Amino acid sequence: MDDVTRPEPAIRLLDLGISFSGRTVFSSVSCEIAKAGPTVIAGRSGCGKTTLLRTINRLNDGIAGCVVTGEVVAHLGGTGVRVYAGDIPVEELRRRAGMVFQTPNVLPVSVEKNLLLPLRLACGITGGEAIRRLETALREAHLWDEVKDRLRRPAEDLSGGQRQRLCLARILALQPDILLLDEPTASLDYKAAGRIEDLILELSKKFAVVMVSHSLRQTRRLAARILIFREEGGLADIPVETAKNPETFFQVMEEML
Amino acid sequence: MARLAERLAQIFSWACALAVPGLLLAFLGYLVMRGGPTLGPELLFGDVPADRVLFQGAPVFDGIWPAVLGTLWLVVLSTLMAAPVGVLAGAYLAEYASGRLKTALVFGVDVLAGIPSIIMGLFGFTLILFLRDAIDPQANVCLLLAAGCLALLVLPYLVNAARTSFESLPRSLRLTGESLGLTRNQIIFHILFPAASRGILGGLVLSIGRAAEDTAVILMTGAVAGAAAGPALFGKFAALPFQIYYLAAEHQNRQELDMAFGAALVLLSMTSVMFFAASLLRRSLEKRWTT
Repeated sequence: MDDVTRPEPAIRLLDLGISFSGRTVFSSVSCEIAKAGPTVIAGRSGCGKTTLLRTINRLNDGIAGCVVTGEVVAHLGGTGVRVYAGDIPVEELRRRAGMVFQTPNVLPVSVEKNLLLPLRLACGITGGEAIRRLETALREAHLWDEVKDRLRRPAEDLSGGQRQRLCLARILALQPDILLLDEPTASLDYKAAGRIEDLILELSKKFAVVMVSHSLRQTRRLAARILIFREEGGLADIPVETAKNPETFFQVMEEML
Repeated sequence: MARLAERLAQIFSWACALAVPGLLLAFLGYLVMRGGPTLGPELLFGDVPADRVLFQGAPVFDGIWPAVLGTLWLVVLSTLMAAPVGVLAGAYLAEYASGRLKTALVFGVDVLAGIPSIIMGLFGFTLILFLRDAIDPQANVCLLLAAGCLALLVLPYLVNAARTSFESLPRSLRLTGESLGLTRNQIIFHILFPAASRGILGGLVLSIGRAAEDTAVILMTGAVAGAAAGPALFGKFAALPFQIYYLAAEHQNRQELDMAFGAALVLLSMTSVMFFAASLLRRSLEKRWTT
């Protein structure tokens, strides 16, 4: 394809490596991730998938002894920004590359305040505009009908699936460019997980979605691109066609890992 | 045999657990029995009618009203001085300080907590002597000085309460704030602070109780037994703990001793009301934050 017409990748990892107090988690990872997705990262437990995801929005920075080498270029707000060269304040980066965690991490406040507080603090948005964003985000996360009458109730009273959708809505209200999902259905039952998966497929039409998943079933269902985090380091593509047949998929996975 | 030992241990721990409320009840019962009958306008205002004291500022010679006001002022002033410093120092220690500096500062706070209150009083007294020599020969012990020394006395309670409350918050709360693009200060003041407020208010309640009951500090910094009027910032003052000591030490008959018990009941009620007010404050803050 001609370079001029090729769309800018949402994320480029350039020779990326990270270590904590001298212990290397991974090194020399290079990869381009397109906006069209979702892109699912799979791999063995403890191989550094979550760490890789958190390297993209610099969420590892707060951990003592963390040293990152290489660079991440993220396509945010229409331009490519070098994440570690400091092209963008880290707070803005995290707002534009929103993250959802394994366990729903709602704030111990009401449903609406879970959205309004970050909107006010991170974007300075209050009043009518904040209320509009709240409703839009909750609708996008398919949560509006379930919570519209209990916006002032504690968010912790919601079910696990609802809480995870609230976390997604909270990110959507901040109008991100990239969604980083770290096993977002790991703590949910089959049905709640299914709803989140539907939602992820829908959201991937609007946002660049990078997701870590442990579930092969989920990977097969969602992934437009599958990246395997190999033990010896580096990301490797698995053709999505392979995933259509479970047996060959498992076989390829075994070989790759 | 083993079963018997287990049984005995069980009975013993039950007895120990019951002993605490039992002792408290016995203690309160005796206090009410002795002090209860003295409660009334006469205990507070002596021979002077209450309305003349409350609305016209008439002096009170035989009542504990000036001491009630004195204690109230002491608690309010010392809390106002200690609370902001203590809470922010605790937040600093938990969230910003690290390494050797943190170890040194935490050690300093612990040392401060271990200083006997009489030494805190002595410090205030010495300060006045220094001020007389260096700046103003008229400087004298007073309510403001006593409140300052009490603030120093309760400061470590507040620092430690705030620090441990912040430190016991789950790491995920910070991570949530970071992942939403909040700055460190925003995370501390808008997410961690409200979440830690319960523990911080607990420390506040402790310090209110300590400031209300301490006698050694005020003994050396301006408390007097015979103040007839309410306290002024730069004057000597009456306060309940000292008044109780004075009434008990100087009593001539049983009625006067019972007045000391009455004053003790009043002090106890005052601190209970303050604790209640602190818990109301906590509830309203929590409500404001969560909705």
